[in-house]
Order: sequence, then structure tokens, then C-alpha cells
Amino acid sequence: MAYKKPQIVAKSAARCSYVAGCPAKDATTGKYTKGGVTYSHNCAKCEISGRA
Amino acid sequence: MSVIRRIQLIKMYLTLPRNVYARTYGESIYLFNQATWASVLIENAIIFKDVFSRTPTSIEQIINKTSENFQHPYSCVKSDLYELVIPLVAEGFLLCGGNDSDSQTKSNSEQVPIFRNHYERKEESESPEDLLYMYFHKNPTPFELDIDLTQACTERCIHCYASNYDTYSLDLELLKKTFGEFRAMGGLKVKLTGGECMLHQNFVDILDMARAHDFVISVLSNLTLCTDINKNAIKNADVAVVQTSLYGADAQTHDTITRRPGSFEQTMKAIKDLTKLGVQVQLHCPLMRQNVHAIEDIKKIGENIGVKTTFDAAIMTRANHDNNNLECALSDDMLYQYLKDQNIENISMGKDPVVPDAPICNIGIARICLSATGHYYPCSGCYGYVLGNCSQMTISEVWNGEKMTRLRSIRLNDLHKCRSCKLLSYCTICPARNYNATQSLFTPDPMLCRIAQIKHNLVSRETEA
Repeated sequence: MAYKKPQIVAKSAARCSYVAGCPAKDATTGKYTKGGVTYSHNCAKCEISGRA
Repeated sequence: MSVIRRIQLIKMYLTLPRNVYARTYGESIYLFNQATWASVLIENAIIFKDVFSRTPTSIEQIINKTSENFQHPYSCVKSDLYELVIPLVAEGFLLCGGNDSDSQTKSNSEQVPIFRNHYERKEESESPEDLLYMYFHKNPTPFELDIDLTQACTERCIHCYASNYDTYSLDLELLKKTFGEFRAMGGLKVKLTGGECMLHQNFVDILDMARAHDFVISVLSNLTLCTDINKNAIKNADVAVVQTSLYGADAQTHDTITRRPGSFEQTMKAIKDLTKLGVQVQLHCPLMRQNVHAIEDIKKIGENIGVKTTFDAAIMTRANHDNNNLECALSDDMLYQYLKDQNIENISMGKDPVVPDAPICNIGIARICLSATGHYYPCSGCYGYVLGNCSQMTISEVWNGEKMTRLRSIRLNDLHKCRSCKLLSYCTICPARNYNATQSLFTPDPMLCRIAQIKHNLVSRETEA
């Protein structure tokens, strides 16, 4: 096998199966509040799912 | 990237984070993050295969080894590795640490990557999965394995395609053998279902076994037996998603369909408990005459708990070809109204070009199913189409066998009634549904024809309006 430079050819952004119930519907503000706590709206670091 | 940081990097270690899974296909590596559902496809990454391991590996060792193995200049290998891994670390696909325990926590651009060898890419926005499935169409790979752990079930849903509820349960040793074979062939995703999968006496052991094989695990269950032990086992096994059916927004509607009083309360409690534990749950609702009135209320339940809800109006005929379960299917008027209420732009209706010699679906391409009796079959629900038994054949023998080869060669031209149908571009052809409904892969399921007709009517009326 010859040496070939590796390259990323496709990448999908974080998707979340919580989408339908996500309280961060207003993506324009970048923040939302739930239970008195302000969260940043970033699916990749979602505090709601607690799994990022 | 400064020179100083590069000097530091050389002494560091790389490993996969707990939520990220890697598989090699051809010379490419696919990475999937089950926490965020983000993914990456990297061509030619096989030269750095050691990077994508659960064992922390020294960057210096990787560069030395690759340079030596490929007789390629050390500085080029180092530059290529850094260019690849730095964005992957930044986006959470790799962990980088100062030692192996921390990390627990010349241009070749003229060479054509393998995925482009196989297919012309239509646009740059294709996802890793799009490219992966293009590869699988050329190189069929059992990427997903659906397993019915048992035929037994705690419910008797009026629409269910299961044709019997015998107490067969999959043998643990056979399952262990199958997991090993599936993993060796590049398998990544395992779905544990049934019957009711938690009725298998070794459900927790099976979760542990799937975890030990480094699979992305999903569980399809009615959750009526989701004890604390099972909930914690699901959490500890890093199950990617638990899918469950919710048939109504109240006990009366739901329990009428499951024919098991108390099932609504049990399922709802488990959904909430699992969500609290941080387990990702998805709700699915097959639509019937008995629950079509409850769509909005079911959506609200999902929203309130913070889980995704999907609906499906196409009921599948039973696996033994008995169609009594279709009595609960939506009437034409109900179907029309349901489709009308959807965003019409999201429904494929008469837009996609029809290609007679193209594969009609992914049957035999990337998924295989295993029944509780050990029989392999090609797609969800069509237990009757037996490909072989895991006690007598390896998954490789079944996958490369005559029956599977025939399935993946099905083209539109083989479906004589469908190929000249005026509703074709409104239809989702499914050989598995065809088989259950008509005992033939090639004779259309009347349910699919009916839905295609209603979509056509809807588009015609909307266009006229």
C-alpha cells in the first residue's frame, strides 16, 4: 500500500435527537433559559442532553 | 499552530473519546460521535489507523512507525498527521493528553480517493453517511445488525407485524459468536429489539457484551419491564438511544392499542426515568384509527420531556402474511388529512427522477437482522424471508450467500407492476413490506400503493389550488 495523504472528505455537524423538544428554538439569541439557568445554544455542547 | 505547540504535541498521546466510534472501510475511516451524532469520513486514514484506537498511542510513535512502514519522509508524515488530528481533537473526535492516562480523558493531492473512484460526488454538501452508503453499494458491508432477542412480548399491539409471541430467546453463546463475526466484518451499529427485548433473561449481559465489542447500541423496547437494574445497565452500557412506541397521550388510547392495561403508565415512567439518567430517548408513534386524534398531544408529551417524536402512517402486514392487523390502518380520508397537515415540502412527491436500473433501496447493502430463533433475515419485520441460521452459518456466509446477493441486485425493472406505474415517483417501494403483504418481493404492498395514490391526489389538488 502506498502512502497517501489522509483528508477529511465529509463532515456532518452535531445533530441531536432532542431537536423536536429542544427549548433552544430561538437560535438567534444563542442562549435560552430553563429552570432559571441560562444555557448556551450549541448542540455540540448541549447541557440538556448532558451527553456532550 | 505555533512551533512551540507542535513540539509539545509530539510528546502527547491520542485516543478515541468514550462516545466516539471508529471503523475502517476500504482505506477510509468513519468516525461517529453518539453523543452529538456528528460524524466524519477520512479518506486514506488507514495509514494512521493506530490513532483511532481505544488504547492511547504516542504521536511520536505513530509518526515514526508510519514513516518507516511507508518509507515516507518523517517531516511530511508529521505535517500530515498534525493537519488531520488537530481539527479532530478540536471537534471532540479525538482526545489528546500529555501521557497515556491523560488521553483516556510530498503532497499526494493528485491521487484520487477511493470514494471518488466509485462515484462522482454530486455536491460538496454530501454527508459522511451519504458517501459511506455509496461505498456500501459497491462494497456491501454489514454495518447495522438488528437483533430480536426474544419473540415473547408483554404487549399485544393491534397493529404489530409480529406473527407469534413464542418464548424463544436467542442463545447467549450464539449471540456472542455473531457479535464477533459482525465486528470482524466492520459492523458498527447494533439494535436490540424483540418481542420485548427486556424479557430476555440475559438482557443486561447482552448489553455488556455489545459494549465489549465497541458497538453503537440502540434499544427498541416498550419499556414496561424497565426496572432500575435495566435502566442502570442501559446507562452504564452507553446505549446511544432508546426507542419506544407511544400510541397515545393518555392511558385509554395507548392501552387500547397495546391491549395491556397499565402499559401507558409503565412506559411513561420509564421514559422520564431514562431521560433523567441522561439516556437519549426517542418516541415513535405508528398512526391508526384509534390514535390519529392524538397526534398533537403526543407531540406535546415529547416536547415536554425533551425527546424527539416521529410518526408513521404505514402499517406493515404481519410476517406470516395475515393482514388482519391492517384493520386499524388509517382510512383514505384520515391519511389524506394527515399528509395534508405535514409540511408538503418534506414529503417526496413526484419530484425524484426514476432510474430503472438503480437499486430501489438499501436492502442487502448495510443491514442484516437476526431473529430470536437464530434466523438471519434482510430487513425489519420480514422474519419469514430466511437467509440462513446463525447456528449453522457465519454472518459472512449469509451476507455473501446467494439469497442476499439476489436481494441486493433487485432493480426497479424487476418490479413489473411498479416500473410503469404512474404513481411511482410518489411511492416508497419496500421489498420487505411487499413480502409480508403479498409473499413476493416484487408484487407491491397494497398499503404502499394506497399511500402513493393519496399523495398524488394531495399534490394534484394543492397544485390546482
